[in-house]
Amino acid sequence: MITLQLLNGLVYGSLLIIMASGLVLIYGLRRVVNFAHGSLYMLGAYIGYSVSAYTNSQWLALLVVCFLMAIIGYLLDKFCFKILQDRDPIATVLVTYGLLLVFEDIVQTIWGKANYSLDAPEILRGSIELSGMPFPIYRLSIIIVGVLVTACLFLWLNKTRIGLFVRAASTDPLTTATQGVNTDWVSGSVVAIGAALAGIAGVVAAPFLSLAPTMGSDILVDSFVVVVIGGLGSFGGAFAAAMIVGQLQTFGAVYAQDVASLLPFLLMLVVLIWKPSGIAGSRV
Amino acid sequence: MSTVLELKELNAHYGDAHILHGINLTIDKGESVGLIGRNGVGKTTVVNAILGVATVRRGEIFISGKKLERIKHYSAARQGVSVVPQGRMIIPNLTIEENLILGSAVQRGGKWNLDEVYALFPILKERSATPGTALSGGQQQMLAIGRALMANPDLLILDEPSEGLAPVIVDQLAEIFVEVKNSGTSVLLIEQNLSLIVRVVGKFNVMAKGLIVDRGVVSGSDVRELHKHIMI
Repeated sequence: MITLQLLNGLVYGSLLIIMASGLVLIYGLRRVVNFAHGSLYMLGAYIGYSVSAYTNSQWLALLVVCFLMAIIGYLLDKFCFKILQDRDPIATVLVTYGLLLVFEDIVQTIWGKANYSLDAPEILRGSIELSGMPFPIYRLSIIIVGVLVTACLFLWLNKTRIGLFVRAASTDPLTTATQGVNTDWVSGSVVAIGAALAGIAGVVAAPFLSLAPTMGSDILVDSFVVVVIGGLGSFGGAFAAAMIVGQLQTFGAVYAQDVASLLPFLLMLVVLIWKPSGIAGSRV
Repeated sequence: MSTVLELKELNAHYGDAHILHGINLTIDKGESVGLIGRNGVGKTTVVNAILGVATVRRGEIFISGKKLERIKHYSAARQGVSVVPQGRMIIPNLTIEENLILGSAVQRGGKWNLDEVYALFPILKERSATPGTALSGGQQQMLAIGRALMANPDLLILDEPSEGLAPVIVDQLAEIFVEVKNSGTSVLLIEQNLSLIVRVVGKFNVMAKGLIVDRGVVSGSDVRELHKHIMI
């Protein structure tokens, strides 16, 4: 039972890290707290649903969503985040929250308010036995996707030239640019990757959670808790925080149902009092 | 002789503040030029105008004969001008080696690479995996110079490199600047330390109130002679 709960915690933690890593990257490069990130997740899930329904291929849906969300992310950066980065934080919050509402309205206009569900790919259906209990293969695959995304992002940031430019620009964009790096292009690419990750999270979550126009707002709150606990702009901190929040949510749902939804916020409160800069408290 | 940097009637602003009032300056290939003047006369603004940090509202900047249009922060580096900025601006979350690799972002071919920079500054190689900001002030200056050289620039701009450094370190830096100059790289040295100017550059320009008010040749000048120019 404990093993299954741990695995369920890892499943939700994996979804959170895919979401939160996008938020971290965007904040790290543009200093923009992106409230629209949840709506990119929702949009990804709905587009994935339609592509999957039309082509009968969840894998193709994942690819199409990845591509489309990256384009949307790049356009968001070019026409919104780039302009917002030096503005008052209140302006940033208002604009990105406004975008969240716009995207929710677009989804409701196209797909309506009904809930949908997306089937898992055939190869990932069924379950395996763990500790004498059945555990869905699809949920295990979400953990694998979370690990893969984390590993790829880690390697990209730490072992490639562009990753080095991203880390440099997240700390000192001016000095990085004066070395000849087009930091606007770097930021645009990073926001595109962040948006694609949100879309991937949406498609990955779709067979596991149902599709609803409010699904973006629900996961956005937990993702922000992860980013704040981890330290704004810290990728490693967000990873640790996502795993902790994932476990808190699943164990809380079983052992402390009345206060389960409060536990992540209590943890955030404690971390903010103990270390206001978060667990890691550093840039990307 | 070809020109690596030419500033024509350069007028630069920070917001509404008009800082440079028509700077004319030419640096030829292989030449080393000094820019001297008191605090606040606009020396660093000349660099900032080239880097697109200060706004150029009138006048022109030419790098290797090509006019800089719609100046971006990355434009100068891509055309062969590297800057060692005032305050060094080492990226704190990068190691020494990563700071140096950042300098090679423009990927211009030439003499300078990691091995050459490490040969010039062995201490950087010894501590290559430590964060750049863990170094002493003098070592950070070496890192900033190494990072600028990694771009294999045609022109190296040094903005107050001796600031806050012990005289013995400044002596070491002077030797390195001469070595860089002798390797064929043009140098624009912005300094208030006149003994460093005398040792490194061939020509000097004196700035006051956003203008170049005097020019001369350093050869034969001693520090007291230069000091008279600054007092103008």
